[in-house]
Amino acid sequence: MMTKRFDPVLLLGAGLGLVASLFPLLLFKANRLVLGDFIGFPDLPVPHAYLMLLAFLALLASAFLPKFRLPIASSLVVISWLLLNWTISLTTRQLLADAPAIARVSFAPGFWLALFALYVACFALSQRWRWAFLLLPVAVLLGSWLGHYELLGPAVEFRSVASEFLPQTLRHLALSLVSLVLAALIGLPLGILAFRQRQFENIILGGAGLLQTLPSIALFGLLLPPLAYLGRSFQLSQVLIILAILILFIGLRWVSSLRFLGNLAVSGTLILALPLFGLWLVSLLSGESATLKSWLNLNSSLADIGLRGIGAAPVLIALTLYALLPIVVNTHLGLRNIPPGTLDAATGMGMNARQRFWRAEFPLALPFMMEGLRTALVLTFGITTVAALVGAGGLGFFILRGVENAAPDLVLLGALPIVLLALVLDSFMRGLSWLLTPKGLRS
Amino acid sequence: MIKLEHVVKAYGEQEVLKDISFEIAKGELVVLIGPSGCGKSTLLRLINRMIELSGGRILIKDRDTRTLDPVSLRLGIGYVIQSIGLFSHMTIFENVEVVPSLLQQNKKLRRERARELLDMMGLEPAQYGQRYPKELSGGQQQRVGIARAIAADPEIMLMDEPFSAVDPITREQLQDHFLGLKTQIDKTIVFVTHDVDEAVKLGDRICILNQGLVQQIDSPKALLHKPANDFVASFLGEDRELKRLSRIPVTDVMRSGAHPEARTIEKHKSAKDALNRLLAGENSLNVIDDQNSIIGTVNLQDLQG
Ligand SMILES: Nc1ncnc2c1ncn2[C@@H]1O[C@H](COP(=O)(O)OP(=O)(O)OP(=O)(O)O)[C@@H](O)[C@H]1O
Ligand SMILES: [Mg+2]
Repeated sequence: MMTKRFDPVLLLGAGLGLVASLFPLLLFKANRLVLGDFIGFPDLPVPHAYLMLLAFLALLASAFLPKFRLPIASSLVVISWLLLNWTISLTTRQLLADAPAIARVSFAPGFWLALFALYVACFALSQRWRWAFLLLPVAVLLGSWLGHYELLGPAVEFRSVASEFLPQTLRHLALSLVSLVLAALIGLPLGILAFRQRQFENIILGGAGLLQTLPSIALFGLLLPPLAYLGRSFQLSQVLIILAILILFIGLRWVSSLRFLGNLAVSGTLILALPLFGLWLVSLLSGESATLKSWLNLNSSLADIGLRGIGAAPVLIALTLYALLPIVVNTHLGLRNIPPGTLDAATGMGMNARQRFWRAEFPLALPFMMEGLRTALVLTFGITTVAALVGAGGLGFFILRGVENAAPDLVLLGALPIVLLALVLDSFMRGLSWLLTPKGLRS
Repeated sequence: MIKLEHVVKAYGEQEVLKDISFEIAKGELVVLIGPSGCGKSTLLRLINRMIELSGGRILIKDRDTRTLDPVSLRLGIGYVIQSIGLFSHMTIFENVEVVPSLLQQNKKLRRERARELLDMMGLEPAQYGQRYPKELSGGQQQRVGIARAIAADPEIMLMDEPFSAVDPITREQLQDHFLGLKTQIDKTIVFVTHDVDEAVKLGDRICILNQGLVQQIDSPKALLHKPANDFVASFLGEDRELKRLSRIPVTDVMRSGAHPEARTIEKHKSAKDALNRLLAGENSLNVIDDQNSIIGTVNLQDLQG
């Protein structure tokens, strides 16, 4: 492999790193109310800060190396990151040594810029060595151990809310996953219907698109009165009786003249059962034992099992509606994309409608359906952040509290896990989709 | 075997097929030919009820197809579609085994059969069986499409331009292959093409369609010798006598005896091959059999009969 004379991207990364180390790395606040002091170069402990600067300079120089650029630059990436963290850790300890307990040290722009700079450098290296992207997590892990992050603001905030952190994370996951399940249960059949019945195509696709334009906060506001009313006025037993009657009526589907009534009963059952199923699943996944117990008591009101104007119910409804668009559109697109000759062959070989669906249409459209589910999951996971606004919890809870208390560290505590988990979910869905894609369709 | 009675097919106002009647005997290969858009594919798809008749009826083994369940009707008819339409998510084996698996045949037996068929179509099963359609060339895919249609051993085959997507050389190979195959499998075949040479080469009878009507249906030789009308004549082309000769074995036109100085031609060659050699300057040709002994002789006059 020819080594290029110099690597401009690596150069950019190293340059950004140099600039970053001249910016303030930390922010010191004696208490929450003061604006705080930025801590930059002249105030940093002496040998370490200069070593860090040197490391970035060396990284800059390594961009021009004709030989051994890859191993040298890779080591320099890790070394500069470790030096940066060492500097931060020493500074933090000095700052906090004789400060009051409510004093906070947190990351300042220089730190984030340095992180970005190293990301750019890793990207440059990964062009030649595909495992280079692992350098960053390795460096960050080593750095977090060296950098004494536990003294920094987000960690301090974390300790103050530690008992709530895991439950809220689970809650966040539960809300978005359950809405994904509901949206899939509704969206996949709708997408198939839009493909099969031309007269519904525009209504379904247009409708799903329209839902997406509703502002979520407005939706919460609009849903509040009716949901509150429903929750107060009905008991679990009443709903279960209605459900049972509807299920009985489904039998009418097989009486040819009453087919329509039967189909109506199917829709009614689904409309009633899906939200209940969703609410139950959310309480199960986020471990709300009190709500779960109410399910066993037929006299519970719907409010007891979670159907209230605020809380999980409006969030589930809103998220499910938002998640519909990618699922419906991709399902429809996947089926549309099957070459007409293939479907013709399926029919011509003697497949009946069901065989044609399961043996041809479904496997061929599956990669698209998975793509829709992936997009929907990432979308709902992000939007779940606003669930905190209506008291449904989730990681948005920390963000909201951080904003209310002017505590950016707390905001970070909510935002960072959202970004990281979204990335994890995204790769998980990509992997799953790859696994489920029939071999002959993989590119 | 297949009987069409006053078949009509209309799409809205447009009558694609106006009044088609003919019969196909068991074991016969009838070629449907005509200009693009004349309704060849439509006629084929009416037979296996991919589309429904607008008028008339189609009988298969004396039973009106409209009284039969379309799915089981199609299971009993091999269908090679114009656009091949292999299932891209299935391996070649799985593609060939589609109909046997719909008929819930034993897995081992149907794999055995798939191997046999791929072999018969000139595709090495060990090499191609586990591949996916995108890993095959167009011509190879067409052969898989044919194997898939034969897999469940149907009595009737509908073949819609099965050799269209390949270059002329591969096409000729496939045709030769198919002729060899035809003698092994005893099937009633309706074969669509718009290539006159292919029709002449393969058909027991050729049915020429135009403007929704059968223009002529006859054996290739009769058709080429006596076109029923101007359309048929021009459709078959000015060189139809040559085409006719290509269907006649040289042994059919030779006289007994031998010409002392003449060169030789093998007995399995066609009259057209002989004409070619004669036009190139030979006065006569002696026809020889596999043992290289002369069994007759032919000259230009013999070919004018
Ligand atoms: N679904 C349809 N709706 C309306 N018209 C159709 C439909 N299918 C076919 N036609 C028309 O019927 C006529 C015959 O079509 P068909 O596919 O049978 O032609 P073909 O003889 O097979 O042509 P080619 O040689 O190009 O395959 C064409 O004019 C076509 O436009
Ligand atoms: Mg056609």
